[in-house]
Amino acid sequence: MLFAAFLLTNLLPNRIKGDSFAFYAIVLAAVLEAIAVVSRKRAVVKDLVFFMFALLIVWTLATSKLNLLREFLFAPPGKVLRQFILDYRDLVRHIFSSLGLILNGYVIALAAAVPLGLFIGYSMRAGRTATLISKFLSSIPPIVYIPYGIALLPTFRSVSVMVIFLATFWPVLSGTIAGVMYTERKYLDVARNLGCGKFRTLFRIVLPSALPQIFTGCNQGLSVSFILLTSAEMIGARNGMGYYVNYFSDLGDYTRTMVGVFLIGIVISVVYAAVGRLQKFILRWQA
Amino acid sequence: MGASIGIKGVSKVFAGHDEKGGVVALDNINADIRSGEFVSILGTSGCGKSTLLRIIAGLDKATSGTIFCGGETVINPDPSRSLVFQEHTLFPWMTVRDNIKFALKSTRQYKEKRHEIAEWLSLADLESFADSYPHQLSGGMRQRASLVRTLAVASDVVLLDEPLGALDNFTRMTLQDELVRLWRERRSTMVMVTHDVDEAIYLSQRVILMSPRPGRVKNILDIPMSYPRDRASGDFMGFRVNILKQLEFAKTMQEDYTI
Ligand SMILES: Nc1ncnc2c1ncn2[C@@H]1O[C@H](COP(=O)(O)OP(=O)(O)OP(=O)(O)O)[C@@H](O)[C@H]1O
Ligand SMILES: [Mg+2]
Repeated sequence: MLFAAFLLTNLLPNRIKGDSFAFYAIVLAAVLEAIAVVSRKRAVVKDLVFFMFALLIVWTLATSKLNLLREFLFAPPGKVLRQFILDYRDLVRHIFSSLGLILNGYVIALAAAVPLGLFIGYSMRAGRTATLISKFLSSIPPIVYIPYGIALLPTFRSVSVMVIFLATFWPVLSGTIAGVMYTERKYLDVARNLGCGKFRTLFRIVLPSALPQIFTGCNQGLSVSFILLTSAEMIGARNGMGYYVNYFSDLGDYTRTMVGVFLIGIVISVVYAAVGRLQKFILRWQA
Repeated sequence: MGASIGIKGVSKVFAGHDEKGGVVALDNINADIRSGEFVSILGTSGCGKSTLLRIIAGLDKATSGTIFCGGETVINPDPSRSLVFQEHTLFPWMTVRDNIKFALKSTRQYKEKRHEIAEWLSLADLESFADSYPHQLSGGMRQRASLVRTLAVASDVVLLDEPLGALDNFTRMTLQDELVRLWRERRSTMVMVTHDVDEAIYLSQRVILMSPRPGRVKNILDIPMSYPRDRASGDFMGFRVNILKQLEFAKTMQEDYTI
């Protein structure tokens, strides 16, 4: 129904001289409609499509039809979509550049924080102190380390990796320590009763029971990492999604700026969705 | 063959939250459990039954007194004294089958006993839930799963803390028969906490009656009947009346007993 409404809006006379890109928007709308029809049963998809139609209609009305917004800053949907397709190769390169950095810093941080957190939480009485310390350190926005990073490290990439590392390391560490310390006593009692050794208890009991909290730390790290990385890319990079947005807004190419903004939104949502899926699968034992 | 258990002057005081001093959960408990014997512990809620089992298992330390098992002082927990916990303790991140597997592997019995897993699952009537996670089970199913996870591990002493408490009467009676069968087959020493007078009489050779605040042994009763026992026999009724009389608070016990 909204699909029809959208088509109708497109028939309205243009206020801006020749929005010759409406074709792209209509194709997108058709694809959305097709998705909605195919996934007849999934309410979430339906609602999403509904929302996107509403957005497209308002957007089209506000730009090409009524020209409420400044034409220079806000391109109509069709134009943005066309730019998306034209810049396809470049965009993929930027995505990979950004995700590569995130992955790098993130993986190193997890590889360091989880074992260290397990060790501290499990073997030392210092768990409480360590939690306080890592809470304190994780409360410092890692962006303040950037000056040090720039002074100490040779390249933009290494500074980014360091910042992402720090953004992830502390929350994951404190999550892991907390998770380990709050392992329910009854499970440890069963393990003792069965004569489990330290390592078996650690990996089969303590680690799984700490996983929910570890994941909470991971998610916190991930969202902060994305914020930091895009900001950092806007300042000092030659590559990446943040760079793309910043570069073209400096050039006054606001169609591409919008492309970049949408791209960042889409990429981050997809990453979250994928990570969320993975975690849900790993934690499928939870009620 | 199960090991004997000696409980010598065991007391347990839990530190209180304030200066008033702690809770005396157990006060000078003495009992000798023979090797291969089936003993039940009966007593009201809060009289220290779980505390006593945990101390026998070696999970908690007595404030004073000693536990002997097979003549040796109990200091640490050991898989030869396995405990069925009162609350369900299945690991939520393992399926029912993996929980049993984990117990067998931890006690290095997996190789010889892996084929028995299916039998345990069927004893607990959980074959179709073998690959379910604990949160997908009902309370009674979890209790059955917890029970067989512990029973699957062969040990000299089996400590059972209200293992059938959450079950309906019919399942409960079936599992009581299974416990008797298992006990006679393995000749392990069994110590079971229960609130159910009939259950105590049906299963055990002796019943330890406890009284609360502080937890003390009130009496130890012999149940000299041969197995399998008949719940409807006159002797059975006699023991029942006797125990209810001894407990004085017979009314409360009868309430508990109809769980
Ligand atoms: N960890 C603990 N810290 C402090 N007090 C405790 C602790 N565990 C048990 N107690 C106290 O010891 C007493 C005996 O508890 P216990 O769990 O042994 O009772 P129980 O006979 O098993 O009762 P129920 O039949 O309800 O299971 C209670 O008064 C309880 O408050
Ligand atoms: Mg208890």
